[in-house]
Amino acid sequence: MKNKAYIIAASAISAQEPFSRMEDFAALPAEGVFVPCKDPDFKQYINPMAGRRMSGILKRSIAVSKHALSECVIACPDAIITGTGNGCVSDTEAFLSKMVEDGESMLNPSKFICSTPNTIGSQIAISLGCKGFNSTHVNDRFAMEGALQDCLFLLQKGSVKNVLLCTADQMTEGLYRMLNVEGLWKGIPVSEGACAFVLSSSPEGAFAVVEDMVQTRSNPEWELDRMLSSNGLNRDDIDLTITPEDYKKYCGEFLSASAFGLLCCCQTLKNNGAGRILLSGESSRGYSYILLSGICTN
Amino acid sequence: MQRPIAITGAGIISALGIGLEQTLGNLVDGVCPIGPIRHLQTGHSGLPCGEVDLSDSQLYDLCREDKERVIPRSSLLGIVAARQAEEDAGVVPGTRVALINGTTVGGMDITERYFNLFGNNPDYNSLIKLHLDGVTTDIIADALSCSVAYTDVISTACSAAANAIAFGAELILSGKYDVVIAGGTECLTKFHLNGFNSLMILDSNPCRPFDASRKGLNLGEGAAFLVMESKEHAEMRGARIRALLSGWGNACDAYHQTASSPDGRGAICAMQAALDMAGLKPSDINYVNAHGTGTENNDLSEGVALMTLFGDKMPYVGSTKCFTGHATSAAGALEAVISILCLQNRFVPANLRFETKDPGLNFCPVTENLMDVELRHVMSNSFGFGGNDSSLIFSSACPI
Repeated sequence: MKNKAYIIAASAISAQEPFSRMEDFAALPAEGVFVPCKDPDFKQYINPMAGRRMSGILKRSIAVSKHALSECVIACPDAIITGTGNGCVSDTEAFLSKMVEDGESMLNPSKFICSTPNTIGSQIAISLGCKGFNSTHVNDRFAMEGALQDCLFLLQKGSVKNVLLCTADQMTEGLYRMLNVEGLWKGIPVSEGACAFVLSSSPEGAFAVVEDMVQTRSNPEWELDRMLSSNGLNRDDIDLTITPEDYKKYCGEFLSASAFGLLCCCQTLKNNGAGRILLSGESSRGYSYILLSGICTN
Repeated sequence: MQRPIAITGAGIISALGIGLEQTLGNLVDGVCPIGPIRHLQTGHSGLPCGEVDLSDSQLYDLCREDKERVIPRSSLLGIVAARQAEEDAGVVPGTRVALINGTTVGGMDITERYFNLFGNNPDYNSLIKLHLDGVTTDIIADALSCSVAYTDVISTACSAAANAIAFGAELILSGKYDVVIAGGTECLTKFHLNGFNSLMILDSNPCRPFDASRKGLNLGEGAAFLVMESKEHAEMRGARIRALLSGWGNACDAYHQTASSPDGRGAICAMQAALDMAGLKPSDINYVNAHGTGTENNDLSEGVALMTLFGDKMPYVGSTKCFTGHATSAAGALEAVISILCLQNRFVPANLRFETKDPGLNFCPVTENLMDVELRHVMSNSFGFGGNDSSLIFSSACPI
């Protein structure tokens, strides 16, 4: 089975200007600080009444999804797949700290209701009226990769024509303090963000192609070569490799930051029309490689 | 019609016991393990739950893990079930496999225990990362004798494990992996016990799925995993095939964050998608292992969906949450294993404590154990908050 899909829209809400293009990205300050998201005017995307009850991650996810869908003029996708490393942290934290501080009584359910990671995908579905396939991948630094693989399976099976892929992670003061004390993110600006892509089984309107992908816990070199050779390629056929260092200077560190890397690949291929890019990822838990090409690449 | 997936191994730990034999034995004997909480430290210990009757310390011993190392309870439960599954399938140690886990709480038991110390006491800071579902899944992967090359975690609330099994099946169909271990794990935590309690959907008595007087659900915990491979691969290595996964469907109710729609639209779409994939008609299904949580909303919405889909050819319907409690993200895996045990043993367990038909429904669930019934196809439903509805169809491996 081919492991391929066409990308027809890509948008991001990040530490850069909302929905901005790569040419306008500016490097973030390098060390130890938290750089928050630059949010768009949510009123364009979310009914203010509904928005009042939503945490930042939900508002960003809905807004970035609607922005991507408007880019490819699709009102409602056939399926929604979400990737989030940490899920709805602020609502989880709010319910948890209330329970730890005030004890196990008189708790308000509203924060609990929005604490599960699939709140993101289901709130997008409710806001779009999308009753199609809906799933959420939460494999921390590989949350986007798992969700993307799910999109590729769905499109290859032919059961859907297009899929909305939304990724999101948020940072809270409490989480930043904990992680900073632990020294997990030394030397990298800490941030947050939400990205959305629309993938299609047809090349119409596409500006980039996901040719194949692999994610592995071990033997990365062997797995990469195996993926390339199964596509009749070798490492010399790759024109550009994008590593986390290449894009994290623009988006900062968050668990689904590789989605911002995917956005950079898409915009590069959109500008160039041709070429093959390898988006590589690495964490203490494994490795990932996503092979992309421009729409005019042979 | 999709090529069916062979299930060659299964493992389970829940309130019903450890392993396939104990689980089946207690189901057949009608032993209901739901009762007051004994191991989770909570002010709500009087609320009946389907707790696994082992302390964390006993679970460490069962897993032969070092007690000096902090391991979330969900990982310990997962290790027990996943090791059983790989052993049951007889996969050669070192086989390259993928492990797909459905979970939501992850390491929440650790997080809630040390929450006030995080960020203030360096001794505890290294435990923060245990909160992540991916990290808790890797602990399971590292404890297996198979070589786990790929892990993924799916979190769609109460349908997480069903979606993990479906994603695992896709990995087999794609040819990326010959063998996939998929299922889910969830432990009781104060966080979600209090969450469900604040929603006022916990019954203060053992739950009564589909009964007109039902008052809510009982939470449960546990883990279950399936070993899946293509039929060809299973036959080539001479593996015993317990059952086939012949269809899986997923749809979103897109109605409300915590409530199901009155017409059960998402549930109908998920069940229909699973039937379509399996190339089956509704009348081919012999037994529906329902989501059947015991809440007013779920059982009515699911019941209406079943009435719409099956019409006057209603198969046997029952919920086994009256035995296990609702193990949330692991529920789909527990019920997948129970469905397979039913198929293999020509058995349908009673939906305990059912007395009065719901006036909104035209059917009653199975009230007594049915033995030696012809079961070819069993449907297992899992519906999550946010309308994440999934349905799996397991089929008998022996053609009748």
